[in-house]
Parts: sequence; structure tokens; C-alpha cells
Amino acid sequence: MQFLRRLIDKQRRLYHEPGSKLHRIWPVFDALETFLFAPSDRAGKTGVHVRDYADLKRVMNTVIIAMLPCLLWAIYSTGAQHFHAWAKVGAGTQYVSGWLQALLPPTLATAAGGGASTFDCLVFGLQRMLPILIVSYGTGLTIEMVFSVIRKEEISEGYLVSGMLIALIVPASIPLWQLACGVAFAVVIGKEVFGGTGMNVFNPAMVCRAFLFFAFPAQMSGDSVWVAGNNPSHLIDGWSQPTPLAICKPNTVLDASSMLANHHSHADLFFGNIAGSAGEMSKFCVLIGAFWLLLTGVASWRTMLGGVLGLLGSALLLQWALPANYGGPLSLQPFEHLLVGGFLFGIVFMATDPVSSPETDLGKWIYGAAIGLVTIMVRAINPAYPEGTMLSILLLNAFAPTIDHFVVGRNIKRRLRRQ
Amino acid sequence: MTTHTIKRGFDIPIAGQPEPVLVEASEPAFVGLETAEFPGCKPSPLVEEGEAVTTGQPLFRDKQDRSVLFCSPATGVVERLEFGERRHLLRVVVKVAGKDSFHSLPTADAGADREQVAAALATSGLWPLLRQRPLGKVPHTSTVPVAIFVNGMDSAPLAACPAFATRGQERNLQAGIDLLRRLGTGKVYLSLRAGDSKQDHLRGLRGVEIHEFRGPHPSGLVGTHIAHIRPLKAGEVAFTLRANDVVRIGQWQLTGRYPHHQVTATAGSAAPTRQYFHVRQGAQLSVLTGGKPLAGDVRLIDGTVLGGTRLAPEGFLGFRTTTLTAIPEGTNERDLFGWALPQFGKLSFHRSVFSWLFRKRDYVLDARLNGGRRPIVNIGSWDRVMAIDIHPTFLVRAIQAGDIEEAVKLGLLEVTEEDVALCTFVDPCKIDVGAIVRTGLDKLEQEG
Repeated sequence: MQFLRRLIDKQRRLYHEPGSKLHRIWPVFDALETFLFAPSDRAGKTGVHVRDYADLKRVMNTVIIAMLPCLLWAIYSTGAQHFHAWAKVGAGTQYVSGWLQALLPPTLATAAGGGASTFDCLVFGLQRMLPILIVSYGTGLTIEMVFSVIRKEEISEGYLVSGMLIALIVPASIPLWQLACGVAFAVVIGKEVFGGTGMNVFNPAMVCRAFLFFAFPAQMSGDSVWVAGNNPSHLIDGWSQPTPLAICKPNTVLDASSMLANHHSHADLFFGNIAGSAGEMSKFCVLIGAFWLLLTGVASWRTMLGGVLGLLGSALLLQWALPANYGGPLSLQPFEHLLVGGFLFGIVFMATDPVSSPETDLGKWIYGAAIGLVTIMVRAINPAYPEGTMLSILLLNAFAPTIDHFVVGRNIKRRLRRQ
Repeated sequence: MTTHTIKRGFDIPIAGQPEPVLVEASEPAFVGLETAEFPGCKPSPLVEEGEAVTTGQPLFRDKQDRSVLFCSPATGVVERLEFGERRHLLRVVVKVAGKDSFHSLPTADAGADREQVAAALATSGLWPLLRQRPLGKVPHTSTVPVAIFVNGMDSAPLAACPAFATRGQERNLQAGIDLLRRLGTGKVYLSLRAGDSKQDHLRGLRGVEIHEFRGPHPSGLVGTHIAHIRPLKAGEVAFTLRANDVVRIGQWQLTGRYPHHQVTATAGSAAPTRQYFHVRQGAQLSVLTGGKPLAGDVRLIDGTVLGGTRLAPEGFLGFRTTTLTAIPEGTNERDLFGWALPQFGKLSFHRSVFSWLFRKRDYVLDARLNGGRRPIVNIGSWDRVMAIDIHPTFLVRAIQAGDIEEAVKLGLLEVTEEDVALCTFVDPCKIDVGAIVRTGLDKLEQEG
């Protein structure tokens, strides 16, 4: 450790002293240095002389830990879905291995029969998820570094969370160049133009997802999902499934609950044994993450609870307000709305983003509940999109300052009344 | 008597509480009076180097409010006047010579009206014990307060206990209170810690309305007290002072002599002794640190860790110092992977540092920020330590945007640095909230 310190202190001179050779890129050095050693800054001459041990790196790291169960499931599930689909459509064709499978080949005899081992699934999942993570973090962090160098500011840790979120909410079959475009758009337009971490209006990961959704609908539409494969477009040809919400979408479906039950059991939906954007499929893993976030107090329980209550309440309300034969997703049991689609992932990991959500306690309740309401409205009433989580979170991101404005306005009035 | 319960806040469990033992400190060879302790004051010296001065003789006056004098806390010879840029007086150092001989100071007689009381306090050098709300500065002598808040408690970490420091001073306290009652148009309020039997001598004071507070820091801050007892209307000004200050005012009122001694506690894990000293105002710090300047990687603070000024080891005690805190400085100490490890032994308000599993009562804290400065990312921690009904993040943003009118609406007039000190402490983005609030207050004062 002492050796490491000496090495870094020696390098420091190359970057930190003005006029030194690499001074222009000191934010990059600083990011690497403070990744290893906490900064040496101390409190000033007056004011507060001691500080809490938590810093923004720790806050962001805590959120990343919360997403690890989802990531692990994403890796496993991508592989499991792949072999499941290949067993269905690939029989009789030659199995082509990917780059990681070339090193650790699957036992295809059993895989073809639908009995791929956990190890085979993990190898295939890593083969897809690693490049996605690398592209997501590589593109995003490079752009952040460039902006930090231009602004002469320390690099902020915000993208460490966004990068992981993005990897979890895109289909594993996504072409990497599309992902890179989406990340670049999200970081530049969604974040840096507003001034970087802490200043953005919209959640950057959601901006990325929205960009991909509208720019490349063929790969991202919420209607049906493909399963990652090893051919040049990373798909298993001839295999696609409607998402649970797409199954329930048509208004001609009068009993969506039993329609859904024909395709997927509640347990499969809860544990994520279905195809989709792998990170958000397992509600079980999302709930582990939610528990961790609430235990560490990093995310707001008000937003989460407000969101869940808003979703259930709106589903009940619309069922009551609209004609009984309205059909479609409204004929789902209200709790089934939590099991299908990405609402739970969105409300736990994306709506709770402290920067793009309201800051007042009451504001968080309103914001969460409104996300639930708009999600249900898109799912049930809107004719085009089966899923509404993404759109409702982005919409409420835009309204977050307005919600705060009214809550803070009440506070101002209350204090004026004392006079 | 009313009891108020403060729910939002945090008691920092830091090591180095002073023991309730009062000892007489040795007499210093030099005393000093720093002008920086009185923000906004434009000092104009009234003595020359080499001039003999008596205890209570004015050393300098404030050019802005010419009746306000700053007096010598000892008898001796002016050793030096130190000036900064543009001949701004920084400090006056007096070499102490033998026993006190007293400069005659007029007291306020029984029939004195408000102006005469204010003038007497100003001439005797005790006016600067007062602070005003809003702004948190020394008030102008022409200001008429609508209320006076005397603070008989201090909830800041390691702060000296005012009840202990003022015990046995009932006569002086009562004389001080009686004088203060003639200074304003409204009541004199006294705030005490609920259920603390050590303050019974304060509970017996006459002519004050007593309010009791319970709960974590900032339950003992005067800003919290005002918000709960009598929030100020637009244009109203209140005076605030501590019980220790009332003792000094009472002493002067009863004897006509400058109250040159006060009770100051030493605290903090790096302090050589942790106890209460009866010590001369402005004494060299070495009389409290075992006879010589404190050496090593130590930070000496005039005040508490949540609000004080760093002092040089060879510096002087302040005009109204009641606590001298010494903590490790932490120079060149850097934690490897500090952000990634669970850190069971590090103090934090947040549960993302896992020391909450094994709470200790006495953490040794140093002056490191423990992280890099970042823009505001509000994870709700400021609100959880703010005992006044305001939204601190919105206040800070309004000040940063230069919108002072909006900041006033958001409660700028209700706070000073000390009221937002806990926000600074808990903030993972390491933002100095107090400094931002002070810029806002300065700007407000300039704009009038």
C-alpha cells in the first residue's frame, strides 16, 4: 500500500501542478487516484471541521451493489433463454459458438434437449453481457472524461450507476453500435448539456432507453422480444415471443389474467423465467435490490411506496371508472401489473434517482403515485404502446420541479402565515 | 414553561467530552484581541505600541458604529498592533504586567432608558457579546430588538455546558437579565435542556420566559429556539446571547469593572486535558494546553467542530470563547478504497457506512472531508438534520443563483452558518452549506 501511495504521489506531479506536462487531463488522473485513495482535502479555516464518512462514490457504489442480483440474473437468464430457444428451433442445425464459448464450449448434446447446465448459461450470458457492459461504460465514461477535462472539474460518479442501469434495460440481442449511439445521446443530450451530474432533468439511463426505443424500433419495440444468439445479428432466427403486456394489450382480450396464465405462471413472472430485457425480468432480484436500497437509506421509500400504491390504486380506479367490457390490460388483477413489464425495476432503480426526482418528501409521494397512474394509463388506455413505465418516468421527471415548486410554495405560505 | 421536542437532527458521537471539573488557569504572559472575531467591524485603534493600558481600557473602536469599544482584558503594555492589507487592524497584543488595575467603566443606573443602557454596554466593551437575528452579526447600537433570546444550553458536539460554566453565578445572571430587560421592547426568553437538573440555578431566574428543548442537535441552537418560540416577522430583529455572556454583563453591572475572566472548556480527542478553566479573556492558548503551544498534527478550534475558527497553536483565546476543541488534523492520511469497504469503524449519519451495526459513543474524527466535492445530489440527508421548517436545498440553490429575494422567501433570514452546519457535516457531496448561506446573508446586507 505504501508502495502504491509513493507511486501515485510521484505521478501526481505530472498532472496536478499547473504548467506540468499532463496538467490538462488532471481530472482523469484524479478519478483514478481517488478510486484508490480518498482525497486528501481537509475542512477550511472556519465552519464545519469534521465530515461524515459517506461520499458520492459510496452512494453510487451502494446503488451498484443493489443492482448486482439483477445483473447476475441477467447473465444467467440470457443464457437460459438462449438455450431454451435453440432447443426449440435449432434442432438439426449446427450450433455456432461465440467467442467465450469457443474457450468454454457448451455440452450441446444436453443443451439441445433443453437441459443446458447453469455453467453453460452463465458462459453464454457473460458472452453477451460483458460486451454490453464494456460498451455502455466505455462510451459513457469516455464522454464524461472529455467533458470534465473541458470543464476542468473532477469527474463525477453518476455515470457508474447509469452505465449499469443501461446494460440491464436493453435486450441482450442489441447491436453494440446501437447501444453506443444510445449511450452517447443519453450522456451528451440527457446530462452534459444541462451541466453534468446533479443538473440533469431526465434520468440519463431512461433517456438512453427512450432514444433506442424510438430510433431503432425494430430491435427495441415493447411488443415482442427476441432471444440473443450467435449469428451476426446476435439473434436466434425465427424465434420471437410477445411480451406479457403485448399478450394482454388488445381490447378484445376480456380476461387478461387467464390469457396471461396460459403463457406464463405467476412464479415465472416473479422469478423472471421469461425472455425480455434481462436485467428487469426478475421481480425477485429487483426486490432484493429495493431491500438493500432501503436498508442503506440511499433511495427514497416514499417514491417506491407511492409508485406501487399509485399503480395498484389507478388500476382499481380505472377498472371501476371504465365499462366492465373495456378489456385489455385493465382486466388483469391489479397486482399482476407489478409482475409484468418493467414497472418494478423502474420505480425502484430509475424513479428514485435523486437528481431527476422531486426533493421534498410530499413531492416524492406525488411523483411516485403519478408514475403509477401514467403507467397504467399508457398500458390500458393508450392504443400504441403496451408498456408505459419508461414514458411515465420521463414525463414525471419533467414535472418534478413543478411538483417541488408547489410543495415549497406551501412551505413559504405556511411560514408567512405565522406573522 | 413550554417544552419543545426537536425530532430532526443528529448528535455526532465524537470523542473528547470535557470533564465537569473547573480549575484556575495560570495567568498568561500575553493577551490578544483579534478583530476577525467581529465580522463587519472596521477597527480603528485607540492605543499605540508601548502604551500602558489598564483592564477595561478601550483598545480599538468600530468605525461603523463609533460608540462600540473593544477593551483590554488585562493590565500591561501594548506589545504590538498587527495590521493586514490596507492597514486593516488584525489584532492587538498586550504584554500582561502584574495585578489588574481597572479602567473606570460607567454602568447603567436604575433609571436608565434603552439608549443609555445600550451606550453603557458599548462603552464598557460588552456590546459585542450580543448577536442579532437575522444575519447573526453584532447589532448596531441603535437597533431595538423585539425579543432577547438567552441560550442556557448548547447541544453542539463537545460544547462546554453553559449550566456548568455558570453555576454559582446566580447574582450576576440575575443582574444581567435585569439589564437586558431594559434593552428591548419585548420579552427575554431563556432556553434550557429539558429534564436537566444541573440547570436548576438557571430555572430560578426571574423576569425571563423559560422554554425547554429536548432532542438531538440542533435542539440547542438559538436559531432553532427562535423558530419554535417566537418566529420573527419581516423587519423584526432579536438579540441573542449565551448564559455565559449574561454572567459577564451582570459582573460588570454589579462591580463597574471589566469582566476579564470567563469559563472555557477544552475538549476533543487531541486536547491534552479535557476540563473547564477559569481563564483570562484573550489569553495565549498555551495556558490551556499545558504551558506550551500544542505541537503535532492537531487542529485547534475556537468553538466546536460544527462551528468555529481554526487557531494557530500560539494564538489567543477569543472574546467569547467558551469551548476550545482540539482534533487530529489528518494531514496525508488517505484511506485505500475508503468508498468501497463497509467501514464498520467510521462514523456516518448514513446507513451506507456500516458502522450503524456497531454504534460507538466516541469516534475520533479528524478534519478530512472524506470525499471529493460534487454538485448537489440530494439524497434527503439535509432535510433529516434541519430542525427549522425550511427546505435547505432550495435555499442553497436560490443563493447560488443570486436570487436573494427568493432566498428570503425560502427562509434565509431564519438561519446562519450554525443552523446549517449539520447539513454540511452529513452531505456526501461535501458542500460547505454554511459558507453559501453566509454569502447569501452578506449579499442581502449589501442590497439592504
